Amino acid sequence: MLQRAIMLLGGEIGYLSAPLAEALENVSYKISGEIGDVFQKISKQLQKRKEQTAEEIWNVIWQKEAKSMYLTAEDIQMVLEFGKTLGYLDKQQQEHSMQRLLFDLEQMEKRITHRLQKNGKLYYRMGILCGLLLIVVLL
Amino acid sequence: MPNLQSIWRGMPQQMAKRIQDCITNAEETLQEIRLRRDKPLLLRSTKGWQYVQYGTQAPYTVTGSDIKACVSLLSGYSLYAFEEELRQGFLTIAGGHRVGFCGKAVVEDGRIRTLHQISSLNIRIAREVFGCADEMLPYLFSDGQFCHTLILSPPGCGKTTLLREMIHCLANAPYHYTVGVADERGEIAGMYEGVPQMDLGECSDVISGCPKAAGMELLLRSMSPQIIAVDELGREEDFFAAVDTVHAGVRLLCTVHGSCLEDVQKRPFVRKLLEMGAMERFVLLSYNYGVGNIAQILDGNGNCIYNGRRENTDDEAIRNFMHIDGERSDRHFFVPA
Repeated sequence: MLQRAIMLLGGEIGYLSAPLAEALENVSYKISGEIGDVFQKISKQLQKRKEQTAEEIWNVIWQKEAKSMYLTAEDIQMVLEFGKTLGYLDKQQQEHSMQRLLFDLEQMEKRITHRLQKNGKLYYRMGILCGLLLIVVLL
Repeated sequence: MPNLQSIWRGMPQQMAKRIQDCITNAEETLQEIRLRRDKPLLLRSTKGWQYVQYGTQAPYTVTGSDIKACVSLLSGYSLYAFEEELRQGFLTIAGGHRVGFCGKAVVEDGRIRTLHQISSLNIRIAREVFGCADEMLPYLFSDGQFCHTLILSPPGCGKTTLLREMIHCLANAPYHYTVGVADERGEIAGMYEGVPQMDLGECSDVISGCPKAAGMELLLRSMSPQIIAVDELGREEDFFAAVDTVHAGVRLLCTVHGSCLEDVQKRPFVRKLLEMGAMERFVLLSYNYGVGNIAQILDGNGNCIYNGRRENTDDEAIRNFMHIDGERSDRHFFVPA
């Protein structure tokens, strides 16, 4: 979902040159769930144009909302790193920054999938063996 | 009076408060705010330049963080969305105010792609001066129809402000002309997010952000204008587009930048336009008459039909301006080819 949100954000920025607050709001309407809510909150805070930088607003809201999400510390760190590049780069650099985050998320997904494949069969078989052991004990 | 909220929201609160403390009646008097990295913050008002300082304290010095914060806030945290504007060195914010940028240019294929390491900002307050064209407008009509009009002005004489007010008047009652405005740099209408920040009247259509010639062509093709208004004709294609406008039966209202009448006469495209007999009225602005005050209005034959308030008119320069072929004649102007 986060990957999809960043891709949509990339489209808003790259093709429409939508201002950041508007881009985040548009993406929040297309992404359901917690990620959409976070984008919506960041957009609203940006629209207030208080003295904080875009990076500060991004960090504060993500750190607050991430506690209730199924994101690891590594995931959150990647998202916060992306926040450092928001708003003051030109379009090309902004797109590169988003592509980098997408690449990192993709790599993370591959690692998790590999770990799942490696350990998944093991846990599945252990589960069956434990079940059989239980049957033997009860008999 | 201009609304300065977009400017105050576009800078750190502390800086905005200091400026508002130092200048009384900012809406009426403030003209420019200059931010230069590691230099004192400067304000220009109707009284001249001043520092931002409290009493005998040292003037407020702009830091790199201030510049970065201003750039971020003024662009709505979206500098990438203003690449085209950055390429031209300025962006327009809500209220029609213009922010000029200076920094390190990134050049690609001989053209500026964007600006980095921005070190200076120039915030110019946009003002509308309603009523500044009331006195002169009747002189620009003949037989009940608006004449092709050329405004000639040196820099800083209020040419664009006058043009804006003329468009406003012509597009409103009682004239209600359909006025198409080709606003290449967004100076006339102050376009922000597609909405003109300046009042250009009920019957005006604005195309901004594209070359004047293309804008005029598009207006002719699609908006059925009765008058086309354009600022600062300069390039060859601008003048060809102006000629097309005249030939299409649409009235032309345009300006030409000139530091003095002799300079304007030497410009080949102005000369061609005059030789064609395309222009029917000339509005001359001059430093001698003050900003926004009209020196003279001439008809198509070069005869003066309106004199400005000062007595020492530049008659000799005007006569010289009208000589196309260098020979004096009873008809001062538009000697047929």
